[in-house]
Amino acid sequence: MNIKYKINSDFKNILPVTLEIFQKLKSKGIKEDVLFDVRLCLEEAVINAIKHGNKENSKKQVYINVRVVKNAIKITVKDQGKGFNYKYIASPVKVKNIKKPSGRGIFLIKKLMDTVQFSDGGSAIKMVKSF
Amino acid sequence: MNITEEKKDGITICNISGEININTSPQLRKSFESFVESKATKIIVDFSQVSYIDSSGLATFIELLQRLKKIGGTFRICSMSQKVKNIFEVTKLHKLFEIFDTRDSALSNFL
Repeated sequence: MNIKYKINSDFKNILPVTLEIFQKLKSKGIKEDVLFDVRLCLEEAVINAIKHGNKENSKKQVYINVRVVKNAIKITVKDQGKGFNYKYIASPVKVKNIKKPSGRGIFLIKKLMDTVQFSDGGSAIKMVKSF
Repeated sequence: MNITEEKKDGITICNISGEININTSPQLRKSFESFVESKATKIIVDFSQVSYIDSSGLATFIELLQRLKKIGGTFRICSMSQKVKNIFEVTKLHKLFEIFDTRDSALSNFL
């Protein structure tokens, strides 16, 4: 399976795409607990791409690629932003940060996916989950 | 997402069904604002029908905790599915919030 999407940077565009991807992955017999984590990580990545990468500029695009290769789901999400310093991301589980409402998206992705890599200065994220 | 409210012995019980995600979190935030404005200081949020939560949903609960603390209130969460509970555990928020397995245990001794 190899599917690609391009969406305008509006939060309302996220769920129709991620739910469609979810159904396609589900049709491959992938377990629900894996699908839950993958869907959440995909949505967190797209939310970040829209909010931080593209600054919610609806004219900017987010590109999503989902591939299933052997026993792994490989997802790439790319925005049209300038990137960010992905080498330093504050940990939301530290005492000084735990009560802050925001800052958990990337942390969740790193915890729930098997591998996570940033590229293009941080404007692209590649995530892999084995099943 | 659907939200209903009931009262029991001075405790507000908020029943959420469906997904707490980027599109539904604003609606949840508005409901919580109305609780705070009505000075509801003891709230139980029943998660038995919640199928999904993302980081925007987690943020909404942190904000609720902060707002309630300012008026001397607090809230408890009950009846989470394991998938949803896992998200709270991964983010260590199970240590910030009071989480109970059942509604009865959440109601018990809620002073």
